[in-house]
Amino acid sequence: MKPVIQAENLGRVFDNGTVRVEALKDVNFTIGTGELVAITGSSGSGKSTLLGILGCLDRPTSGNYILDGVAVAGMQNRELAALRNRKIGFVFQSFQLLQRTSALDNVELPMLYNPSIPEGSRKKLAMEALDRMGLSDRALHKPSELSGGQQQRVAIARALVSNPKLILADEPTGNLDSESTASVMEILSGLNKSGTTVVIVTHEPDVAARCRRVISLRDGHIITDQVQESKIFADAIRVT
Amino acid sequence: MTIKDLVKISTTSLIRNGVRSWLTVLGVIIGVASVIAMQAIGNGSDESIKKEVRSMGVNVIMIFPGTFRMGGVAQSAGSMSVLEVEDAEKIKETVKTVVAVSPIVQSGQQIVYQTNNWRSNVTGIWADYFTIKAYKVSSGRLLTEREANGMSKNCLIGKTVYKKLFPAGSNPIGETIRVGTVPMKIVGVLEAKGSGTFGQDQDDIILAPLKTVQKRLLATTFIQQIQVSAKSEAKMTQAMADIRAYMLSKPNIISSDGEERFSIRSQSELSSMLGSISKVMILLLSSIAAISLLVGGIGIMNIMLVSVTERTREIGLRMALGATDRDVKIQFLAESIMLSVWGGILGIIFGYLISLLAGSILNWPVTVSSSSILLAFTFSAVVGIFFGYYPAKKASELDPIEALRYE
Repeated sequence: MKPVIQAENLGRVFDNGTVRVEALKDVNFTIGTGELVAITGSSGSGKSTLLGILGCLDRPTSGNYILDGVAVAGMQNRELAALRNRKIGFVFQSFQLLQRTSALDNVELPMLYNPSIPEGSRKKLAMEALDRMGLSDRALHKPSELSGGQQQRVAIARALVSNPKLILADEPTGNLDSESTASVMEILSGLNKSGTTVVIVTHEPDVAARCRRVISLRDGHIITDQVQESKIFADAIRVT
Repeated sequence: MTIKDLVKISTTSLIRNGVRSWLTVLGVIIGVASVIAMQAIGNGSDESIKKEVRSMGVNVIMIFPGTFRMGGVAQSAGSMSVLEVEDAEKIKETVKTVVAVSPIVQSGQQIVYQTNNWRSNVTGIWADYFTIKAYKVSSGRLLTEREANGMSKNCLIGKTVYKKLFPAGSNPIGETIRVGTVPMKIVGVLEAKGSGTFGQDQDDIILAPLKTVQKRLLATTFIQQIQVSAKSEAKMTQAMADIRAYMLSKPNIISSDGEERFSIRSQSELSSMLGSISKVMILLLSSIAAISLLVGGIGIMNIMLVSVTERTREIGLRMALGATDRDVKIQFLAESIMLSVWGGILGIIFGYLISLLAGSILNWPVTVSSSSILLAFTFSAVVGIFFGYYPAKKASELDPIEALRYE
């Protein structure tokens, strides 16, 4: 299995001159193509820091991070931006939709920064992504006119519109009720089944339990990295 | 991101904050409009001064006896005798760069017609004087050369003299008035010239043949001034030099203390002096207007800074989705440029309207020059870039992780 994420001795130190915080220490793991992985840990465990690095929004202060065969360390901001645009789809806890912009325009947003997608085909691609999320009838609605679950589905459509290698979800169900949580998780595992690598950062055991592999962090390092074979079927049953 | 995307994004975001955007644009509108209007009004005043100067005569050169001193009487004893009618004749004969020459003698006289009387200036002239001063009649006719250069008792009166002596609507042509002690017949009424540059009434005037004024009215042979019209504006300097050369050839023209006992002045000196006054005025008005444009620019910067802060999360999101710092910078710069360019366009329109209004109130030939439009527009675009750059740079330097978490 070709690795999508290779983390080698990742370390991240925050140093503002007076206080020095080691948010990540010696983190090592590899995530292969098509995996569904949960990264868990309580607050302060370093999972947000790790997410930032995995999402190419931040750089490790030590160690190596290789995303889909590309070494991220030493890249310029502009190269990182292009990498985020082409290889990663983000799903956030608070959806992060542009409020007074239609669902369709929100989904189009990443393609604005990808010159390889011709302007004329953006609308069509965005519409297809919304359609996959079952939201084609909501395309012209603004986020305020949609339910929380629908908003998160718009956000997922935005994440997958440019066919990323990796979907990075940061507490994707944190702001949702249990029904919407189930539907969002179903969608994410559905995407995973169709071949996309999905990494979910969460502190909810419930959500983590639905992932085949769980990486737990505490105080900046990995304490467990388990594959839960038995959960797969349980997941399937619960979701259906 | 294409230009189309940029325009779309900035337009939507500006329309969303409608009132705020309008107020910001208004600042620029006021700035640009005042630059345009001030320039137009300034140019108009320049134009009207030039017109006035032109009405005073065509390429006029004046020769005075004695040294010419502004604000003080500097005519030494006997200076009157320096200039004679003969000089005017000689200048006309010998100086090739002049087309018209007239000696002038002026005298304040009481003018009486029936029971009305009025004190006015009687000017003794030759027929050339009409050419020099571009005089025309509104009724009757000018003096003929034979009349003006001889001893005729015909005269011309200005509009003011007509109004003071004759009942409105009556025909003064052919009537006889008494000028001082001499009865004279009116042959024409001069076209109105309005008030002069220094506010004097140019229509309070009687023109009569030189000899008549000299002999019958004043009993003298002296003249006070010779006025000359040069062939063309380009020939002015040459004409002045020629006249000077002639004057210096006269005997006793240099006084015992080495001063020349005459002076030569030209209309163009006056016109360039007035021109420079109006240029200073234009400059002053325009800089005040430019300051208001600057204030408009500060308004843009202010609103863009607010906008960047408000949209911190949006910026973070765009960065996470792949926007580079350059993309973000350009997006905000596009907004500020759009504000200032709209302000520029509307400001030009308003400025033009203000200029027309001011022109009709002040009765000036207000001209909105294309260069001032170009200047104002360029300046407003530059203001947009200059004052938009800092907020845009600030936006582009945000850290995406922190920006996404911003509440």
